[in-house]
Amino acid sequence: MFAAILRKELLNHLASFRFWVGALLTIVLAASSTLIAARDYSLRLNSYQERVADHAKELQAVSVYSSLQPLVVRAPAPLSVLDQGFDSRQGTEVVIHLFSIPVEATGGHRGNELLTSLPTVDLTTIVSVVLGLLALLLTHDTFNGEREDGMLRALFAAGVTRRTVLAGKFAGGLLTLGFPLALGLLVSLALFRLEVRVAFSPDQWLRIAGLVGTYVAYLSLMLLAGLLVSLLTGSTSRALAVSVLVWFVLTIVIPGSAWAVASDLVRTEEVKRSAQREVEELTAELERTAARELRRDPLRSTFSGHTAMSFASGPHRAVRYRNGSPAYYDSLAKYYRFEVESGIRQAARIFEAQQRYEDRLRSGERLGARLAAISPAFLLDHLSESFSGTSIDEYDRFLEACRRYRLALRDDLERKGAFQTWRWFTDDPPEGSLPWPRYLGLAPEEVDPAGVRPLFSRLSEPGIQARIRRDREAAETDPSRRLRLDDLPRFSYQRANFLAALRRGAPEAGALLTLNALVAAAAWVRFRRYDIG
Amino acid sequence: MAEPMRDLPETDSAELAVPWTGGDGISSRGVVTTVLRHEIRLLVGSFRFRASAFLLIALMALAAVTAAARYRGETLAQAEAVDEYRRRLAGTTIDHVVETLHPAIRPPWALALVADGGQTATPDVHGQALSALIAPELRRLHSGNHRLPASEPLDWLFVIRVVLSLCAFLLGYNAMCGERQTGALKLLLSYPISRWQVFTGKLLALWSCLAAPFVAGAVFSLLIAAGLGIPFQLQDLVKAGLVVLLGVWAAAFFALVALLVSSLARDSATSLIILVWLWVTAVIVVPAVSGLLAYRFHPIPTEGEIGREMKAIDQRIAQEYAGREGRWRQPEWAATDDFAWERISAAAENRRFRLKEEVRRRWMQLKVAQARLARDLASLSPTSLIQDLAERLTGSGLWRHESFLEQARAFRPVLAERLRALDARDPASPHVLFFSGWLSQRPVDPEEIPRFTFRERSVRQGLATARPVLWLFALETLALAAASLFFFSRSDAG
Repeated sequence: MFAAILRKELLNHLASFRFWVGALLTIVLAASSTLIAARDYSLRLNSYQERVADHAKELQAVSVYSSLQPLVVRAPAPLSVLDQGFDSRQGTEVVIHLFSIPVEATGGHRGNELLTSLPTVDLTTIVSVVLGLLALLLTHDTFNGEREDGMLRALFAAGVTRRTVLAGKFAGGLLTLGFPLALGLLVSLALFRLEVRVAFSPDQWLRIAGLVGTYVAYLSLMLLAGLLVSLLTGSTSRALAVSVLVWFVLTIVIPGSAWAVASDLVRTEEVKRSAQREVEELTAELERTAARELRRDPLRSTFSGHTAMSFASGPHRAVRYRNGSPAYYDSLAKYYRFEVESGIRQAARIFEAQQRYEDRLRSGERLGARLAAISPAFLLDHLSESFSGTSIDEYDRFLEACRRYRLALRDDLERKGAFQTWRWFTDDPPEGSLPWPRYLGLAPEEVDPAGVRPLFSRLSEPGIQARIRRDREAAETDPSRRLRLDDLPRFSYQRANFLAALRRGAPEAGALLTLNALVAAAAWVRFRRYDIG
Repeated sequence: MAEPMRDLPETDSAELAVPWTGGDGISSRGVVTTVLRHEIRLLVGSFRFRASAFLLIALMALAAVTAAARYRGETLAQAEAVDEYRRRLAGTTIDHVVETLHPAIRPPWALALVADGGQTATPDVHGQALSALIAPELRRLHSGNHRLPASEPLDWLFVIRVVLSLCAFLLGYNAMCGERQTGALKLLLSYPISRWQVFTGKLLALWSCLAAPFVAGAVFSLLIAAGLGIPFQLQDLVKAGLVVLLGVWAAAFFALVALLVSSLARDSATSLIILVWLWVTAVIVVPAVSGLLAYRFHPIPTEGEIGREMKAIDQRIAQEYAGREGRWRQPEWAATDDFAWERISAAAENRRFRLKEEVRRRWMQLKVAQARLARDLASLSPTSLIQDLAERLTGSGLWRHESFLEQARAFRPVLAERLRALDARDPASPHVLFFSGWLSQRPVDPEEIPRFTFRERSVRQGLATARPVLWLFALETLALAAASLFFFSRSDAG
């Protein structure tokens, strides 16, 4: 009998106008959103590959350790095509160096900020909004409608148990919703395959299975809610109005209000300003102590025959000196050891200050999640972001991997003695360095401190200039001046695998299943005493 | 399927009959008023009305509270930025000031609770230095919480587009077909009254039940926002008043849609199902697909592509100037040939800056054009048309963003002119404009540096911009009214 009821429900639903409208909207939206999302993914993937390749080339040209600042790039999540989540909204690049601990990623293709007022659509949104509504529309008149037209009485007269009726109607509804869901998913996956031409890994297939499971759990809840409303209300018309109102409040109003409250009522600006001020003070303090330390040795602070002729600086305290004397370089080595050690200490303090701001942001996030937790749409969003690898936690994992990599890089540099050697700041070889007075036939010690500047200006004489240029070009092309990076630690960041995603989404999955059980139990209790007319 | 309307009180036909059975020559207005009163009593007594009114007022109040908090945060962030700028200018020289980023700040949007228009996502400070060596910055001072999912701003427009429309459908879906099912419509039309009177009475009743809580919510919302510190100017209040009028008009529009579908549908359930799918299409599908189409047919370059264009400009400059650019000597050496090399280097850098600025400007224009295309396509949906209309009237959304960029860019020549004049007063300056190290070393009075002031769009300008869309919406409303009346007149009374 169960099969007969299931079949009847299925055929009834498939013949209904509401089903076809919902199914059509699902497929149209799934196709159009996936097409665009797949192109966006291709763009982001290309951009990721280009950045990685460009940076690998740049690294090959690095000649001093202070310039060894690997750029790590976050690859786009393939399943962002099904659930965009936070994947394209957060930065993708982090420069790893010793003077700061990564707290955020920058760069990446983040689209058009002027389009944010338009709703974005992905498969999860379609399931949440369109199929969730369809579930309620299909079931709102299941019992009250059949009671009105006498069908329910006829059914029980045939000796069917109430449990079979309830289970059959629920299964029929779920199977009906399975059609547009499966079709939407298939269309999305096919378009992704056509556009991106990348095969999914077994883990990604498991994640897709997790996504499907999440969608089914959500739709099952909405179906059960529809059945419960049908059992609790007298007329189909009223049941429909109540269903629509319930859907609207749970899917649109609660999440929207919760995020508005969390975003605007949790004050972040003061904490941000205070953290910024602290960071500025700490940075200024480092600058002051570094300047004091630099001035401590007259060899470093005054222009002499020992001073390097060429100096280049880059971001994050990258420096490169050339044509200085060994004594000058020894003195610089002491200074840079101090700078690196102070910089590492200061970076930890700056990180602490920045974490206070991050903690405030997290408290806003927690408040939003608590307020939205009664909405099945929120649970669906959260869980499907976990499975698709596009959650904010995944971004946090990337940053955590960046921080681990920074420590590995620091340990590697320490092991190589990079902070103690000249190689932190110069690629001039320890033996046979060429201080600038040598171009004038003088030893550094022979340069009179009072006559340094006029002597230095003689370097622009054509003959000397030509020698300098020749030496500079030779230095630029000399492979022995490049750092050997074969044993540089590799950055490794893998998105959480299926099991980890499942663990992360366990609270939401548990809540979704508990809600299913509660609503099913309520429907069963109500149906056992339901007056069939 | 017979369907008793248990959620509504039974029709009191005796009372309803009084005006047109009590005497001769009953005026049309009297009939309409009676139907109106009767319908209002029915609607106001229903759970749907109470739920709708609560949702409307509660969401508008919440919009006010959140907008006020946002306003406070933005004001704080901007005050900090202004202070920092003032500190940077204190005790500086003309030579140094050309490398300072002069912020053009777009003030917080007082009407964010009315029509946010995506203002919270767009940059509100455009920092520009006069030195061609310093790239301009376009950023947002109050960045919000990046750990929260993207969501539509909660403002009156959200309430009008999303909540008011659904409330109209929930209140009006059975206005015609529900009474046809119960037989009330047949009874009503058996009296000597015309259908348009019944239609008008029902429309006015539905409209009032939507407009009253909306207007109450708007007033309440404004009072809360003002109480929480948003300093509304008279012009803001006029603009807010216009949006209230628009909301009332939109309520009539949605009520007409509900009546039209209710006239055409065979029963209440079908009517509501059609209305709900219409709502999903208008509020979610059309705007979302419009965004996707704009993205597809009006692509914008990626950051990587822009970076490549910038590199190409560097190469072009290197070719054009053949190694004569980037030559900056010690000032005492450069003075011997009247800074000949430095002037060439300055010309090269200024040209590089202009070319790069052109790329940045084109990029922004493409973004605006993409957003405008999305908005135009979305305007096929009346709810998006209403949003467009409100943004034009208030000067929010794309209009405010574009206007800010235009005004900020126009500010740079003003600054340049002032610094040129200040530098010209110093005969000792090499006058290599505008490069630090090659300008006057005299101190500059911060008060002599012009400040940027953003001009909001006036009410008159807003009305002028909104005129074509107003006409379009008026035409849509008239066509809908005519169609609703026509189909109601032709419908079977049961």
